Amino acid sequence: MSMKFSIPRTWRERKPHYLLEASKCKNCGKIHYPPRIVCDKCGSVDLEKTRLSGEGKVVTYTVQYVVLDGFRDYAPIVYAIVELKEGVKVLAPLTDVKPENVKIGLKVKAVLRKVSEDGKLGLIRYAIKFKPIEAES
Amino acid sequence: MKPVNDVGIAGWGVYIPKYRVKCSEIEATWGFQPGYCRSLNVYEKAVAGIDEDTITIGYEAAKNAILRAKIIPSEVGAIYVGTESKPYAVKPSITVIGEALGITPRTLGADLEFACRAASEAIEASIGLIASNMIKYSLVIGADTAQASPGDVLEFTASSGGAAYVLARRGNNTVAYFEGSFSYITDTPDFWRRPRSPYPHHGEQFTGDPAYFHHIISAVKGLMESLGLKPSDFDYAVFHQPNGRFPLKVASELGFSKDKVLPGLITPYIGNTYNGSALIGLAAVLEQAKPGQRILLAPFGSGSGSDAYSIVVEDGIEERVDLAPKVKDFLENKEYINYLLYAKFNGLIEKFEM
Amino acid sequence: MRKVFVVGVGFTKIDRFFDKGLRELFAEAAIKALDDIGGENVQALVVGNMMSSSLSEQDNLGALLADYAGLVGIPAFKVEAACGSGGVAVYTGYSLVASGLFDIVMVGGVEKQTEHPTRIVSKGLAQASDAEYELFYGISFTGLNALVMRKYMETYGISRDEMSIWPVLMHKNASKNPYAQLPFEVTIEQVSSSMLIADPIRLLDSSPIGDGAAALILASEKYARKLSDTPVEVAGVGLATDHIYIAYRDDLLKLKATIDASKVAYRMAKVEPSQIDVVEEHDAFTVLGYMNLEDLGFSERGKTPKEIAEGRFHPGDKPTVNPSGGLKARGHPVGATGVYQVAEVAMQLRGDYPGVKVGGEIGLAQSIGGLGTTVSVIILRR
Repeated sequence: MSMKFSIPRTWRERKPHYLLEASKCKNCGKIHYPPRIVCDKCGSVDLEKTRLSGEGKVVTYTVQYVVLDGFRDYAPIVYAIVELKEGVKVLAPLTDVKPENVKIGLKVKAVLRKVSEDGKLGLIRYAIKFKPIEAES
Repeated sequence: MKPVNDVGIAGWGVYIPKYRVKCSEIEATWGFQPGYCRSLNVYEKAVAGIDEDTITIGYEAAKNAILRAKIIPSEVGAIYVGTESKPYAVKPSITVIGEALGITPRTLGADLEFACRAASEAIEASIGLIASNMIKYSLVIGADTAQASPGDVLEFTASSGGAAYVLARRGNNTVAYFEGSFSYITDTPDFWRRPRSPYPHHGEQFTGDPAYFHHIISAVKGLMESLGLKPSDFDYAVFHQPNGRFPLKVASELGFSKDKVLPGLITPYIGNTYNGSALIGLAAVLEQAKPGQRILLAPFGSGSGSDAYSIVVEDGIEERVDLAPKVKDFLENKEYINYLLYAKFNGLIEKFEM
Repeated sequence: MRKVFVVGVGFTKIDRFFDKGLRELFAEAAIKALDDIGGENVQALVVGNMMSSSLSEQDNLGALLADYAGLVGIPAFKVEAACGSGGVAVYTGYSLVASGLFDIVMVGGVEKQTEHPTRIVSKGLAQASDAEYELFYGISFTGLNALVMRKYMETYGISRDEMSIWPVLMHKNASKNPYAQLPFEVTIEQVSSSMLIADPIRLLDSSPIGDGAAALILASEKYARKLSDTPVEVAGVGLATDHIYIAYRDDLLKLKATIDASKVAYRMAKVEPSQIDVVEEHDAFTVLGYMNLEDLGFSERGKTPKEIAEGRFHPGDKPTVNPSGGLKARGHPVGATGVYQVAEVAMQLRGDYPGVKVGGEIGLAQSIGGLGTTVSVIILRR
């Protein structure tokens, strides 16, 4: 079986994907997602890990009908740029929402979902997606 | 069984996917007599969305339990998932959930299998770990995305959902405690799945008396005898609920009145969530129980085995109820889908990797 | 730094060439360019290409193409900046001559997108985005641009039909272009109702998938007059990059890399936007067609659709934008596009452009890699 997903990458990238783990500059305080090695604001390499809240609102979105290989099951996919409480923006799919109910400003929260599978035999990719906050209670 | 130190529930949480397929829809697809489901007392079942599985369901239920327990995830010393629908046959679900919640790496944990009672076994094991002071908190998750062969009667009830419990020493954040437990296990082949089979086999009527009823009755009787309790000492009775009929029947045989069973009988609205079944029922009861009340919890797993717990509710439980979404909220937040979408979500439509 | 001149050009039609591979296509363009300079030898080759590796299993492209163009042995290498590879190749070729290392350099660009079904090509193109945090989620390159298009339309109150004006103009220009991939007109209605790819981007908002190859000959001043009667000076070059993860950027409604690169190029060429006669800009999608003009300093943010509706930037205006038909209708052979653009501007300034003729003194070519991740701006002067 030809594996398409890299095993080390799946392992190495898990915390930013599962937890919205970001980096924070100890020097100037800027929060970076995806996490960085060098702060792009002040140039410092003194960074620490931090977790983002996962709560935010939709800044812009698209509904993708023409999908890449391996994503037909999920189509149409709504992708959004979500601005979190902390001011950090994240690009991720929305889930549990009908495309016609998405609008700029929609309040959302992060949930862990399946992103894709490497066929029936390979690894499963899990990561943060966002769903509307009015969903439960 | 009673541990040397009492152990209780610090938090509970459930997650039920929003999609529902009506039993009548399944009846019509496979040509069952209309109204067949009424004999099962199930109206509709919950279906996992295309991007959901036991791991994502377990994760959400666990998050809700942690919210109610008001603890930091890293304080959890053991994490268990009881399931019979693991995304990987070999590779634990608890590692993904544990990482995603911030519980790893300093923790115990494993995925357990014993059909629908695996999560209950994890509760028993956790009681031991906590009572012995090996760990402070245990997170036990029961979650499934149960599959049944299309066109088989099991398809009416096999559904998706999960519950999670944070357990701790009684007094350490707990809102209910285990007064005692009793387990009863025999080799009874009422329901099984060999590795290469996509769907389980079941023994139809055999799953009743020799399996479900015998083991639950034995466990509950054993519990009541050892604790010196009678049915009238309990305010609620929550049983494993493979359909909406069995729990009422076993309650009646044991001498528990119907009104004690109904608050925890959720299967008619969401189907049988397997490892979530009794535990979601328990959550519904905890969301209305008052301090001092006593709850009977009797999960059952095919193969077969049953546990019976006597749970006593403590002060402070009412303040925890609204800290996370309630069973009621999940029951109300639903969207109906037709059989076609249900088939797509459940992977029943075969695609080839072109 | 020495002055550098465009002394020769050559390029193929843009189409689906199932009968030609990377080497055949490139050789065709290279031979035309070499003919343009009377068969003189070139001393080095820089090639722009994005997907020879992912779609044609071919690395070491510079050497391969030099060999097949009859130039085996000369210094040759590929440069890659996703869909902006061509512009970066021109920038690199410029630096090789300006620095004095060489006197005569060929800059090439080639792309073969039709070796595989669209879905495979889409994955290749999507590699222009952040592999670990954008492509990871399965967002296509179109999906990424759609995020910007929606923001643009909502922020500035631009309607669907107003967006459709751009493809209509592009197709109108391309209908006069003998080498364009889509040389036919379309109507606003056709554009606005074409198939949705990633809402709000529709089929007729997107540049087509095609193959093509282009080549330029750059020479130092000493050789310029010898090799061409109408050498065109490369008056200014600029190149800039931006955060690849678009959600990391402060403002989605401008491409900072275009602004930065163009500032450098304008300063070097000592010109203002108002002096530009002809522009070939990188309209991979309709929204970029508009945004590029704003970032390059030709119109105000959000005002471009209305300006175009009123006739600005059409043939006859200063500047005339994308007389070739742009990426939308001339075509977008990815890694080659940036080279096509500079060849087109050069031909406009020297008077022998085969499509809509603009003429003029000063022209500008803008090439974008990814969603404004790498942008090059080349300014030519007659």
